[in-house]
Amino acid sequence: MVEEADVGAIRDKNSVLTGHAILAEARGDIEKARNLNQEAAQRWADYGFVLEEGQAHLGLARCLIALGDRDSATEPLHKARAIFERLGAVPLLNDRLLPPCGGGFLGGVPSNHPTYVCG
Amino acid sequence: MLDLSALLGDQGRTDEEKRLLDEARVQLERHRPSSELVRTYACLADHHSLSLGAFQEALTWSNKVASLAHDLGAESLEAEALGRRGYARCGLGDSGGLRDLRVGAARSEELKARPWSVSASYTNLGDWAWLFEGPKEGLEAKRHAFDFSSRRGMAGGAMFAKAESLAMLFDLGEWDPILGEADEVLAWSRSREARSVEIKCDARLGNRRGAFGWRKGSWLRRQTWVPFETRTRF
Repeated sequence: MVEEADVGAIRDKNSVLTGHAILAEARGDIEKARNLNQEAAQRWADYGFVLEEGQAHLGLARCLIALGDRDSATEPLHKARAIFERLGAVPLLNDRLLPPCGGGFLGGVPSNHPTYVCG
Repeated sequence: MLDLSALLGDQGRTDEEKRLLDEARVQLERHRPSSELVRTYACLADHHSLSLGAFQEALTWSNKVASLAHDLGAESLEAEALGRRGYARCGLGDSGGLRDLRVGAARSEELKARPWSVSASYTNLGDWAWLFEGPKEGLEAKRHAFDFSSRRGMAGGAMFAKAESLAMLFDLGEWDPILGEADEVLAWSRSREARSVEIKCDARLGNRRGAFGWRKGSWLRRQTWVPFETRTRF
């Protein structure tokens, strides 16, 4: 469905982009998913859908961690947390990747953090 | 016949609605062009847009409405036709339809067209502005529809616009006001058995509650409104 989607509105285009990112991640094409999530975060920010922007940041961070680039994952993780906190999106704040409020683990995922498994 | 067809359409009896509209059109086309014929074409445009999602046909009918209204000097009907054309164009993926919608809505208001039609024009503009431009633009139009309807005592139009605006507030991250506004709409719609408004509101409310992990809200979201971007993260 995502592959064949022919859409005109920005919201739909962004949704398709996000759909591609999710599928790429699920299929194990993490580099592609990283790029798509990065683009999606920017596009949702421009559009104004805050929750989706946060999801894209989180997706980007997941991909960066999976690719072994934990340092680069810190910024999108903090962006995601800031968004989810502002929204009060409690289930999303409980995502195991998100740094705890106030403390954080700048520079990477803490050693006691569960191993990230894509998909 | 037009009123009856509208009633049938509201009940989901779209085949009967179309049959009646065609009958009205054939009868009216035997006579000199009139504002009644313009309204019949307009109903056919709405039938194709709203009931069938057949936007190309809706565009054709909208152009006929605009042309005939222009010939008859019926300015407010011509302005309404512009809104219909914009709706159809947007449905076809043409963002240029937004300009038609904006001009049509503003012109309808300026010409003091039928109040319900003006309210609907801004409500429709809000839908497409939301999708093509962003939630801020969509919300602006929905609030205009709400304010306009409220000032004229059209509670139904006002509450419908408010129910739809919840989705835009959700996008914008303005989650705190959503529950209060939704309660207001639900209380109104239940007191008047306005089920369509209630469903709209429940669906939008489901978004907020779903994001909070509320079971009932999540259920409503699945049952009544599942936008494309609603997806399970891996």
